[in-house]
This record gives sequence, structure tokens and C-alpha cells, in this order.
Amino acid sequence: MTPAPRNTALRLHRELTAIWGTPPGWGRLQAVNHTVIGKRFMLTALVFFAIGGVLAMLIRTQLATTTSAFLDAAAYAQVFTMHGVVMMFLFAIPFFEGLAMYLLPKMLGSRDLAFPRMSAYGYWCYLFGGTFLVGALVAGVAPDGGWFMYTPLSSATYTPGINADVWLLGITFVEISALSAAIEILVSVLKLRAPGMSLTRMPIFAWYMLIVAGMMLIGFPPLILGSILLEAERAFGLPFFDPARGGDPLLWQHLFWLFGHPEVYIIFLPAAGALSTIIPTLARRPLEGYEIVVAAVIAIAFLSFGLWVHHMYTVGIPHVALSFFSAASGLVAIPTGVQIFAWLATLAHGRPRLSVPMLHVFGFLFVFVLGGLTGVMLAMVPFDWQAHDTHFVVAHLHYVLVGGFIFPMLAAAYYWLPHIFGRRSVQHLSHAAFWMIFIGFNLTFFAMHLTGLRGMPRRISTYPPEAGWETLNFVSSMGGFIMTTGFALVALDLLLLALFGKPFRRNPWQAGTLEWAMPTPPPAYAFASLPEVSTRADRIDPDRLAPTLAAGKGYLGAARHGWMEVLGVDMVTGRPEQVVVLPKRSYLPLVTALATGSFFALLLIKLYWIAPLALLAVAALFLLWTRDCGLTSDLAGLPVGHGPDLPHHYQSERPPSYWAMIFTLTADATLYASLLFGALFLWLSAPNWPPGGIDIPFEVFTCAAVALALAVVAATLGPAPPTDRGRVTKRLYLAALAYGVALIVLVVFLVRLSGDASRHAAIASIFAVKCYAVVHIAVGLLLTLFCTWRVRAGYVAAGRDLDLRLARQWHLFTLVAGLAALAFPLVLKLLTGGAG
Amino acid sequence: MRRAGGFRGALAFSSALPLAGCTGDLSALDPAGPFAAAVAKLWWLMLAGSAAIFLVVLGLFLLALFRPGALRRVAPSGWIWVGGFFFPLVTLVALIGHGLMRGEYILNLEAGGEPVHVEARGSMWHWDFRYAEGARTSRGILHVPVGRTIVVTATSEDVIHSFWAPRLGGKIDAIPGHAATVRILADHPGVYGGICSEYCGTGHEGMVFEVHAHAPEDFEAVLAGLPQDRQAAR
Amino acid sequence: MNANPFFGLLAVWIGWAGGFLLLYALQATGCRAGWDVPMIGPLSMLRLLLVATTAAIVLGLVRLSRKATPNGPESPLARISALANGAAILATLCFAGVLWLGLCG
Repeated sequence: MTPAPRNTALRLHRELTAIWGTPPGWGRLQAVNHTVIGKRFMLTALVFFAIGGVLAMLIRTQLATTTSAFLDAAAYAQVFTMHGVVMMFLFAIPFFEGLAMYLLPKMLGSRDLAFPRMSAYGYWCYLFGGTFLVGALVAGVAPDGGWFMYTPLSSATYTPGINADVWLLGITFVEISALSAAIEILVSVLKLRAPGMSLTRMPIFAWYMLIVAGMMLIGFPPLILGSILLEAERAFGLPFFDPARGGDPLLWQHLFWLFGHPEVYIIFLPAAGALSTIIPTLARRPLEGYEIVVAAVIAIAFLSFGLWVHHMYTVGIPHVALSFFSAASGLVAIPTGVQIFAWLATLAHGRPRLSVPMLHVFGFLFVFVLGGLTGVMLAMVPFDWQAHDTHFVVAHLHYVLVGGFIFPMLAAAYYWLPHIFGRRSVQHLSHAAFWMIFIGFNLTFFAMHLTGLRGMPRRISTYPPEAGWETLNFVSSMGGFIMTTGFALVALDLLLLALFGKPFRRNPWQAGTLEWAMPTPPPAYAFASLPEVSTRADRIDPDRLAPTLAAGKGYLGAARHGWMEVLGVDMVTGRPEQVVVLPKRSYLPLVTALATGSFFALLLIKLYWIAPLALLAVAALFLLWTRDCGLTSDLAGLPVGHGPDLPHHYQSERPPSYWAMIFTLTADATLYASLLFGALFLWLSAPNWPPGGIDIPFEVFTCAAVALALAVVAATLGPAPPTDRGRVTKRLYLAALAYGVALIVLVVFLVRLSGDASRHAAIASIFAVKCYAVVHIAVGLLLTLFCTWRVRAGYVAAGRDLDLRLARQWHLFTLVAGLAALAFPLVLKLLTGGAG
Repeated sequence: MRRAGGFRGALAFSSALPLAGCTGDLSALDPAGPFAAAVAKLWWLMLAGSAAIFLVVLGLFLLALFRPGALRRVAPSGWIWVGGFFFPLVTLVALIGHGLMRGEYILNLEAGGEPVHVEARGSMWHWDFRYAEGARTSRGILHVPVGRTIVVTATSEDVIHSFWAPRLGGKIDAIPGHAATVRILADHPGVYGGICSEYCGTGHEGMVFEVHAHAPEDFEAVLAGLPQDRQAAR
Repeated sequence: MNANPFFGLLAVWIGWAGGFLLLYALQATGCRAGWDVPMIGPLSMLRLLLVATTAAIVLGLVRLSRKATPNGPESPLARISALANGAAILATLCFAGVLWLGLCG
């Protein structure tokens, strides 16, 4: 066997590092590498966790004694609201996003995620949005209506200050980051894997993240829609939630919890995925029940969308409807139990090693199972009628979140920090730290179940001595201090590991997954050459594989043209089908995130006329991103080291961006469906319908003109484009003209409607639906003009028409959405029996 | 790794908690009527079941780590299907069915003849109660006869509040634009505490009320002594 | 295995989700429209409608699951699909309340 020459591996390492690496100094602002961005997400999330923890200690200090004067009611309201906001939006999701970004390409045998600049953009949006929110806290104008911001308390009448706007705009800003991460994870897991890694050979963590990303895609749009509608109500008076004008506070609750319930499973499942990876390694036995676990995670994903009303059992919904949600809330414990018993079976039949991560696995099991059991209790409607909005719920939610997320993430930290820093822990702080957190946590929250059942509601800043809650609260507060000390010890322990831990050779846990088949800390390019996978990806031998890959013996084992290359594979079989050339590092994500932030900032300070300019800047910047994408001439197939030559992704049938567009439109459609259903909900449930004395506008001329224009777009850009450049350009111009006509007609209609829109929710709904259409038509117009530029610049030819195909998806979606928007007022008219 | 000393400590500690007592003017565990009692019974049942399940699962985990021999006799798929699927399925179907039956009971019980209808109108930050279609009102104190179902309709003048008298029944949200109902029932005369249970601003924790349950013969007299509602019917 | 493996994996659960929305919307609309008042035999019109719709949903999901895994479990993906589809059909248990619980108000 030819000895793998070390100078080949070294040369390859240098070339690839030059291509994939991040320059030092200011150059770090250009980073798009998943390892760098993943670490940034996790580190920033930990900073926010510390902030959330300080807020928690303020709460416990306030509640430790009766009639405490530590914080007044207004300040306390900001504290408890921000504690929830910071933990849920700025810590939990970004942290697991960072972990997933860091781990997935490595576990899947690829070099990076599908859209590196999007990863960077997502990070900057998260950082700026989070700074927004925490900055507001420092300035004393933080949101103060509870982390779920029920209306009418959060409407302009009862929260006149910008506190609620900070929440609405800040959270939406951060959620852009989450949605873009979801789309990226979906595409990366489906398309960018090692050759031979079929779907059912993927590491189980990839399945979890694939499913979680799908949940995020469907779960976040309702929240984004709700935030837009509430901000529109606060800023412009569109009465979606005002019952006096046909709105309904319940609409907010439905939209929020439609997001809110899947959100907590979105938080739990990645942690469960980490456990499904760590436990088999520590048990030295591959995961039992891989297939049933995947089926169970799919079940949880769907069931979790059928639970949301269990947060609303006390609003007066009829019992039969409540029963759907109660039964589903109970049944969801079954797939959860399947996973727990899969882990137990793996441990029982394996040879478990008692190590620090295992300690945290114990912490998870103890705490999460208790939390799950109280969850089943709360799922029972009559019990919830007593326990809802008391400290019993606070106890439950902390048990499931700390048990189901914090402890698994601590296990993951101890398990993967050696990978991130290339060092092992030598301290025994780890044990003391764990026990302090564990004991402190249980002290704080176990007693709280009783506190709640003895009648203490949520969100009160003081309570009288005669309530009899003081002892319990004092115990909880003492526990809180112990727990905080424990977290501080963990932070110290991990810092010591990172700085002074023992370096090790490779694979300290003798794991069977791909991320260990590389040097640790990992190089920027992850794999010098990509492996071929022929077994399940948790039965790999990283120690034997690593030197082979480092020597360039796998796929893509050479630097070519200075390109950042990964392999695109068939989604199901893992057969390599394209070479995906990723865009290089750039300052554009940072600049675009700044522009996006300025749009939200302008809205916050109510400069509504300038804000659209910021939006145009964002659009222009995004179009600038495309400079690095595409080919101006046909390219022959590229050799990849093994097997047949493969096409460049720009010339392949379904490149990553194709799927990204499909998933984006899926999220978009979810938002639209939420809007349409939301309006129908108002007809069904809100008072003061039908609108008295206000005509529901349905203008035949407007509808006909817009429908015709959209039909022209569909006719010109729907069918496959001709090969002749001139004819393609003609069609594009015609479509642009049609879009322009539709845009003008609709904008005129909206301007005329704007006077009535604040009078009743029916009009406001029509206004919102038509605005949605306008936005899509405007973007369609932009895309059409962009395509003409791309054609003229030579990016488009037969077999190289990706730009046209991506835009076509948008056009078809806009056609359907536009026609629905035109028909919508007619539907409302029919439902309300004609004009008011 | 140290043995699960923390677990034993927690168990010992939690058994001391009940000594803190379950009584209290606002305690759902100190029911004073059939609705609250039905929920309290459900709670004790679920607590017992949960404790058992928790101990079994924790025990299995500790065995798997330290004494797996016995556990190895069952195949992994056996653990997953029996422990993870069949046992939860059976338990949950039974529990959900039972919970829904309790719910129907609470929603439909009419004791002591015709229910008394009361409106509980919340505003920042007090409760006004209106009797007999608004003929009589009282502020902060809800007068009810003992032994008869009271149907409380919760309304709001401003933001969402929630009417809750824990010893007498569950809570119902007072949402502007809606008028949802809850049933409460007091078995014995007395004064029972109530509190708003939905965050409604800085005065939220002060938004308390009392339920005064009177013997049936006294109730009419008390009602007659209340002021009339000066506002015209809403 | 069916042409699109993702269909096999997700179709029945998507069907469950659609059925869930349909039933909830039907209940809410029916209550608003007063369909719980007219009686057909011992049951109200709304209850009959809900029960019939539930039965249709369950049968529809069973048929869908047969289409989704036509050849039986011969690959890991097919087995996962069979498990997922079975779970989705089982999840229709959550609709059982239409048979006996209070429908409106």
C-alpha cells in the first residue's frame, strides 16, 4: 500500500485553509464558515443566557419575601417579560442553531452548509436584534406585557410607550435569522452529504435537525404574521385585535400559540438529538430503535402543531374542541416515551461509561421526566382550569425546559467541547458544578408546584403574608442562588477546559460518527477529502478514516480554481449528482444585516416614510450577493476524485438554491394561510361582525385588471423559456410591464382603501391581504428585471437557466396568491351577507 | 460518579413539603365545593400515578447504569414497545377519558335547582359583580347562595383579566368582546378568596375579590341590600 | 416503494393535520351557525356532521397509508414510513370527543 505522503496531506491542508479559512483581524467580519459562525451563535447565546439568568435572580430576590420593595410593579414587569424573551428567543433557539451549524456538515461528511453567507447574515441579524432588546432593557423601555404579549394589554391603548414595539420589531428581526437557519438546515441535510449516505444512513442527529427545521419553517410564520398585524394595529390603527372594531384578542392568542407550542418542541428535539448521539457513544452500542425513533420524532413534529389550544383552556372554547387538544397533548407523551425507552434499552444492552456527560444525562432524565408528567397533568382540562396561570405552570415549564434542553446541552458541551477546542477536561469542578445546578434547580422549582396549587398566580410582584406562600417562595429563592452558583461553576469549568485542558490525539469518546474523523480543533475546511459512506453513519471508524481523508484519498481531494467545493447528492439515496461551489467570504452579510436592522430601527422610532428606503437598500444588497453566483459560459463536467464527472451546481437540475426557494415559499404560504384563516377566524369569533355601515369593497375592475396582468406574467414566464436570448428578454420585459400594471392598480386601490382600513377588522383584513399581494408582485417585478440583467450579462443559456427557474417558482406562487387576494373580499362579502 | 445522593435528598425534602400544608384561602387543594373537589381528586390521582411512573423510569435508568443484568433479559425492542408505546398508550387513553369525564361533570352539574347567573366584570384593577341582569351590583365581593350552582359570566372593560376562586371552581378569562362562563359552587357558608389570574398591568396583584357564600334564606336579603346598577344595561 | 419517498413518510401525518383543522373549523363554524340546535333523532345535526367527518378522515388516512407503502416494509425508509403512518392513524383517537362531549358554548 502506498504510504500516504505527509507532504501531500500538508500541502492539501494549506491550500484548502487558504480557500476556506477566515483571515484574522477585521477579516473576521467576513467569516462565513460554519465552524466560526456556529461557535459565534453558541457563545452569543451563552452571553444572553447569563443575562436571562441575572433577570431570573432579580425575580427570585423580589419574590423571596412578602411585600418586597426591591422592584416596583412596572420594573418587575419588564424583568419577568425579558427573562422569558431572552431565554426563549435569544438563548435557546440560537444555541442549538449554533450547535447544529457546527456539527451537521461534519457529521454528514461535507465541508460546509449550503448557504454560508446566509449563516453569517443570520448571525448578524440575531446579534443586532438581541442587542435591540437588551438595549431597551438597559434604557428602561423593555417589553413589559409578559413574554407572550397578550392584547389588548400590549395594544397602543394600554401600552402607549415603545415597549411593545421593541418586542414586535426586535423579535421579528431575530426570527428572520431563525427562518433562514431553518431553510439552510433543511437544504444542507437533504442535499449536502457524503456520497453513499442515504437518508436512512444519516446520523440520527441529522434526522432530528431535518425535522426540527421543517417545524421551524411552519411554526415561525404565524408569529411573524401576528407581530406584523399587531405592529400595524399599534402604528396605523388597523384593528385586528380590537373587539370594538371587529377584531379579537383571541386572534393574537391563536397566532402566538400556533407558534408557541411547536416552539418548545423545536427547543427540545435538538437536545433529544444530541442525547441520541451521546448516549450510544457512552454506552458503546449503536442506538437501538433508530427507525422507530425517527418515526417518533416525525410524530412529535406533527402532533406538536395540534396542541396549541392547551394554553387557552380558560378562554371559553367548547369542550369538544378542547378535547382534541387535550388528547393530542396527552398522546404526544407516547413518542417521547419511545425515545426515552430507546435510550434506556441502548444503555441496558451496552456497556455504559460513567463520565461527566452521563451525569448530565441523569440530570436530564430526572428533571425532564418530572416535567413531562406534570405536562400530562396540565393536558387534562379540568386540572388546567385550576393550574393555568399559576406558579404550577412556571414549575412545569422550567422542569421541561431545563430538563429537556439545559441538561442535554450541558452533556453536549462536555461531549463536544473537546472537539471544538481539542482539549479534554482535567478538573473535578464538573461534578460539583452539576450537583449544585441539580440540587439548586430542584429546590427552586419542586416547591413551586405546591406554591401554584396553593393559589399563587404568575407575574405578581408582591403577595400578602396571609396568603401563606412565603416559606415556599423563600425556599425557591434560596434554590435559585444555589443553581446560579452551579452555573457559574460550569462556566468556569468549561473555560478551564478551553484554556488549560489536556490536548488529545483523536476521538476521546471512541465515537462512531464522522465529526471525529478530522483533527481537533477542526480545520476550516472540515474534511480534506470527502468520505464514501456505506454503513449507518454512527458505525464509522473515524480513527481509520481520518488519515485517508487527510491525504486526499476521498472525493474532492484537491483544491480547484480556488473554489469552495462540496458535493451535492440525491436526497434519498445519497448518490453524488453535482459539485456545489459555495460563495466565498464577504462583508455583504454584515452590511445587509445592518441595513435590515436600520429598517426595523426606523420603524421603531416611527419614521415610517423613510423605512421603505431601508427596505430598498436591503433588496439591492441581496441582489449584490448574486455577483458571486453563476456561470457566464457552459462548463464541462468536473472530476471529483471517484466515479463519473459531475456538473457544476449552476448547471444541474435541482441545485441547493432551487430547494431553498421551495422552502422559502412554503414558509411564505404558511404566513399567507395564517392571514387568510385569521381573517376567517375574526368573522367566526369576533364581536361586531358584520361591519355595520361599512361596505366590503369588491371592485370588479381592479380584480379584472390585476388578474389579467398576472395571467400575462404566467403566460410569458410560466412555460419553459426559449433558447434565443432575444426572445427570452422580450418575454421578461412583457412580464415586467404586466407586473408594473398590476402593482400600480393595486397600490391605487390600497391608497383609496386606507381611510376605511382602521374602521373595521374586515376592511383591515382585506387591506392586509392585498398588501401581501402587492409585496409579492413588487418582488416579482424586481426578480423579472433582475433576470433581464442576468440574461444580458450572459448568465443565462440553455441548460444554464437557474435564475429563470428560481424566479418562475416565485411567479407561479404570486399568481396563486394574487388570485386568492382578489377573491378574498368576495368571500368575506358572501360570509357577511353582503355589505354592512 | 457519586451515587444518586441528590435524588435521595430531593425525595426526603419533598416528603417534608406537605407539612407546609395544602390549606389556604386561595388553595385549590383545599376545596370547598364539588367542582374544586373534583379537580383536587383528579390531582391526587395523577400525583400518585406520576410518582410511581417517575420512580420506575428512574429506577430503570439507574439499573441500566449499575446493574443491567436483569434488564438485558428483555430485548431492546421489547423495552421500546412495551415501555415506550403500550404502557403510555393505555395509561394516557384511560387518563384522558377520565379527565374529559370530569370536565363534562364540571360543565353540566346543576345542584340545588336553577343556577344563579352572575356577571363578573373586570377592569383595571377591580371586579364588579352584577346580579339579576344588572339589577344589583357589588364591588370586590361576590355574594352567592350556598349549595346552588353559580354560573359566572366573565367580561372585561379593558384588557384580559381572569376570574378565579380556587376553592370553589376553575378560572375563566374575562376577554373584552367575549362573555365566557365558569361554574362555581360553595358547599358551606363562609368567605372564600378570589384573585385575578391573567396579567393585566401593574395593578394585577391587587385585583383580588372575595366570595361570600350565604345560607339560601339569607341570600335574598343580602341581594336586596345591594345598590342598583346606575349604568343603563350595556 | 412509491415514487416519492417523502410522500410515504409524510402524507398520512399531513392528512391528520388537515383533518384536525377541518374538524376544528367545522365545530367552530357549526356552533356559530347554530347547527347544534336541529336534532336528527337523538343527535344534533352538528354532532352527526362531526362524527361523519371524523369517520371519513380516519378512512381516508387508512387508504392514504396503503397508497403510501404499497409493497410492505422492505427497506429502512419503508419501515419508518409504516411506523409513522401507523402513528398518524392512531393519533385520530384525539377526535373521539365528537362522539360525546359538549359541542358549543
